[in-house]
Amino acid sequence: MNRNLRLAIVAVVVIAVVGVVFSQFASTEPDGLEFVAEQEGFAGAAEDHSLDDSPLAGYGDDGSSRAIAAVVGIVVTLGLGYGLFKILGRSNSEHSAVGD
Amino acid sequence: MHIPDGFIGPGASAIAGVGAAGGFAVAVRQAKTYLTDRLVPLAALSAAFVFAAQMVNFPVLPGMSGHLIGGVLAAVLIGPSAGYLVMAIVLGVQALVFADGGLSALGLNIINLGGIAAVGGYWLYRLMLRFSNGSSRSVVIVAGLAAAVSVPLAAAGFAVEFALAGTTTSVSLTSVLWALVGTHMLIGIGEGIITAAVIGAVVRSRPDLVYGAPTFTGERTEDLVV
Repeated sequence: MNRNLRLAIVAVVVIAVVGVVFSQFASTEPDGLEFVAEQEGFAGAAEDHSLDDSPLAGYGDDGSSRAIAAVVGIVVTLGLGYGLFKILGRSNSEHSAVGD
Repeated sequence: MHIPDGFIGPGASAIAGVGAAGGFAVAVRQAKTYLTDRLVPLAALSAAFVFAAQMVNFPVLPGMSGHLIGGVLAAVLIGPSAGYLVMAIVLGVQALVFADGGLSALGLNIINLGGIAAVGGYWLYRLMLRFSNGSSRSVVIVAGLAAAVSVPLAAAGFAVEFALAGTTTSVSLTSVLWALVGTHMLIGIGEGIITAAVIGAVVRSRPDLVYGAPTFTGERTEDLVV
């Protein structure tokens, strides 16, 4: 197998483990901004998110929905990133002889 | 550190949205000048990694957690303009698919995490790298340090926005600023460790692909002075 492909596969596996497995052990405490907002008394200003009823809102509420949320998010960001950067890279592809 | 709707007034949020979109256009133009096909996989993987890592909140203080921003990580790997675009993609997906980060606050979040953390943090990285010997080891250490500082910087960005256009006026702005900077300095330690670990792994396997490293073999929009 080509080395670049192997590295890309390793990267995808690491990303999937982080998103699907590590996220199961994530702290559920408020993050820094939420914490400060509560301490300083402006947390109440937060409005409900207009998409709070969507199936993946808040990355789901149990372990398996978190895993699904992670897979969906990884696939979508990978796809959007690949698409956008592929288009932007196209104008330069004549320079891509460097390396590889 | 995702701003929900309601913390900052609608007018300022809309102005920030226009500013973030302008930033996106500039980043697209800049990224076009140096992105080549061989950098595309790393750029796309950076977006997916930032998304996945942001799902993993780590404990910081009793009752408080933090998570990676990933701005300096992405910017050192693929350049500041592509780094800004990665943050915009991740924040857009989080707000639109996962109801994480307000829709009207999306521009503010892109400015803080893309503009301040990724682009600002990258320039801090560049500045600090000048005082190193430019080895792969110093790339890793300096990237970790810049990442650590980028977190309180982004939090300070929110504090300024809150001072200018916050909807809650009954609070002490200096107290909000110091609470944000203080807590995010602690979160920044995690940011620095994760950033150094990932940059280290990529520099070891493909030193030629890391935009911010002297070993990079592609074109940059600006010279790297070491």
